[in-house]
Amino acid sequence: MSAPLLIADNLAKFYGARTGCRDVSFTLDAGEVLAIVGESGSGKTTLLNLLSGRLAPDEGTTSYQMRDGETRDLASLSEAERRYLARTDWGFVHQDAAQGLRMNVSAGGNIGERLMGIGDRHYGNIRAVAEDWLKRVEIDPSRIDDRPTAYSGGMRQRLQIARNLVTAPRLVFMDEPTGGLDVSVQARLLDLIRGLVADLGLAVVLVTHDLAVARLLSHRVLVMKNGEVIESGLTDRVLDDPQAPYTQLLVSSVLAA
Amino acid sequence: MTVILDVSGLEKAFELHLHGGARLPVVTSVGFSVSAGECVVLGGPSGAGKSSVLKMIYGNYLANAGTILVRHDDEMVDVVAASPRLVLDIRRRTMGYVSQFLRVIPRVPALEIVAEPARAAGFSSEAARERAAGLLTQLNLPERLWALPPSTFSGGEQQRVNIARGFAGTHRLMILDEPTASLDAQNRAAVVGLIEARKAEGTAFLGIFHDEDVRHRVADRIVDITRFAPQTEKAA
Amino acid sequence: MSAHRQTNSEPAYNFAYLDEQTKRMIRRAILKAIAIPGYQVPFASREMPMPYGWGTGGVQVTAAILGSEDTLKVIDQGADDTTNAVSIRAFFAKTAGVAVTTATEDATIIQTRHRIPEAALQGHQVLVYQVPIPEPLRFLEPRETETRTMHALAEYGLMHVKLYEDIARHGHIATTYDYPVHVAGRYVMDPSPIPKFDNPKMNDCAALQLFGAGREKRIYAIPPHTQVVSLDFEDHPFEATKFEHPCALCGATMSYLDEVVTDDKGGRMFVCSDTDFCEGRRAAGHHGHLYGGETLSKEAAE
Repeated sequence: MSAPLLIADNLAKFYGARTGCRDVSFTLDAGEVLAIVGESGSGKTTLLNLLSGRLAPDEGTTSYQMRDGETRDLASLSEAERRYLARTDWGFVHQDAAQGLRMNVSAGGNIGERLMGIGDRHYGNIRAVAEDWLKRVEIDPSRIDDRPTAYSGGMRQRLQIARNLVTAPRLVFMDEPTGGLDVSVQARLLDLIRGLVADLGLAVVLVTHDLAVARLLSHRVLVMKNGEVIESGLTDRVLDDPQAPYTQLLVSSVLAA
Repeated sequence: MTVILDVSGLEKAFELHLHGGARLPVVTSVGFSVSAGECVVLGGPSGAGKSSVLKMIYGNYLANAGTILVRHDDEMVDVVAASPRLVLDIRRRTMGYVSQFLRVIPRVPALEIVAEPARAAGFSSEAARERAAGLLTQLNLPERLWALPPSTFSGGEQQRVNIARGFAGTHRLMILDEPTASLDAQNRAAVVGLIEARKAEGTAFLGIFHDEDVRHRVADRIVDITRFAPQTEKAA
Repeated sequence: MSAHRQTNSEPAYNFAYLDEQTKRMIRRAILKAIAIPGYQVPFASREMPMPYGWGTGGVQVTAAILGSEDTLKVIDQGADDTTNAVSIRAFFAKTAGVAVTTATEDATIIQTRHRIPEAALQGHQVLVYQVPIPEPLRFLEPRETETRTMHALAEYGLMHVKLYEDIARHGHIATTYDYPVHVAGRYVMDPSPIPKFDNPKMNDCAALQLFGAGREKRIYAIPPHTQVVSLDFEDHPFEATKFEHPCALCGATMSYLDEVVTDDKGGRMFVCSDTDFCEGRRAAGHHGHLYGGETLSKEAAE
């Protein structure tokens, strides 16, 4: 058995007297998709930021198995190492594409940035890779020189995904990746993410309040309430046979289409 | 004969927190086993908990007590105690499930939906597609539909895609939850054919079949689930 | 320093306008800048008796390094005789009483706006650049906290994104001035809006090069004989601007040319932007096709 990719050990974050999240422990293996569900203010995003090193925990540790095989506490990484990790072996897909894209840079430049960041200095290669990634996320490669401002919401999300995946990360954090999109656009995006995750063997930590998204994409799910994980397990088990009162409420509150 | 599935002391009750914590007992002390090449059918009236037992075995429902031992890589593994990761591995390589309904994956063509478990079982993309095509042919799904996503198919057509998908893997244990419910006689016969062929190869089956005819043709044994009815229910 | 004060500057001013404390502060920033080539050192930029954009950064650097023995040359876009150059030269003539010149080889300090002289600079000379925006990363990353971190960690992928965008839009790197450079293999630096034609002159230059940004309160430096590399792509290498014509006045083929409109009928000519260089060549007997004797100079054409 190989070591887990990501280990959360007793994570806690407090905002003054208020609890951001507490007592969160789990491991994530390569290729595993973990959904974090719960309503707004339940601590999902705080946890995501603790896991991705964007926020330092008040208690506990997040560890990650680096590409060289060594598992390191994120807090022990230098800022340079952490940033390098974040733009090579990790991805981060934001709900708001403007946070994850450079809106005044062309699609090709957005995709190429990570490559240039790790030293690729061949324009032709960078462009070819960008074109290939546009195709993979179902964007017409002839749009390569357009800026994201000229893209629809769904296209921006797909571009954001391409921009992240170009360095073949092993772990991608997603914060409500389909939030705010039309239902039909959502379905297409989810299908794309599902395919890419399976093809590339990505591990994903997915924050969503949409249980259908969790069901479609994730293997396992953590249910959060008031900053704590109140239930976890196999996604279909948690959604079909919820145990905790809050999970039962959450599941029963979903409108059946 | 090799035991593939061994259930003992299995118990399930739903606790309805949203309804004042009402406890709804389903089954208790469930015990039976299924061997390689055998087809065991769960019997009993609807509401007796047959589906719940299947779902517990598949890991979809949480058992309150008992063990569900499944032969996985020549080791008996307890599904009740297994980590989610192990349950997923068991589902991928050992235990297949065919439900009453196809859970539609948007935009994916029927042939790919069927081929996916074959790929997961180690077939090459090409071989997986061939295997899928063979199954869809056996189940009389017109070839013109193969390249289309099944969301627009009729109930019977969707169900045949669902069955084909269930049989596309090489699982040694198959759980069938009324797979023939929406099929006509010809297609029911085709499903019986599939089951018989896989039994001959040593696959163990555990299923629910409401159709008398199908049940008689595939069942080696019938386990009456009312035997495991909880005491409280009798008292009620 | 006190020796410098008893010169023929106007007694109302301290030597070179700035007080000695301020000059010391600026010198410390300059020393730090020289020690860390290409790194932008913050300094407490003073209000100067001229508006921002007129060279307040360069003037403060010049004031801090100027000695009474120095000979000052000031150029603006290569010319010694434009408003900016003339007033800064007059400013130091008045406040420091130093000798001024237009001849590049006679100057010990050359303050420049947007050009490097054509004549090769010497070890005893200092070139002081006026800088409007010192941060090369700002184009794509407006957050100063982020650009500083990027410098600290040498994360310069973004600079290439800028060049990528150029090629994607224009088919080639269309940046012709303000062309970013990599200094001593460490910091990426904005060379101020000099034409990229001048970029190669910064590399291995014998003179000390100092950069002052007054509004932005930054000083940076390239010590003598430092490696300065213009950023590029393997398949789109850096190329200095080449001109199709020689200078119309002096016939030079290796200098940076300005386009000068000569009439309202579309007539134009190309002449050296470095006026001192052009005049020197003409004096040495080199002539271009529009050279009509001593009276026709670039100014006359304008």
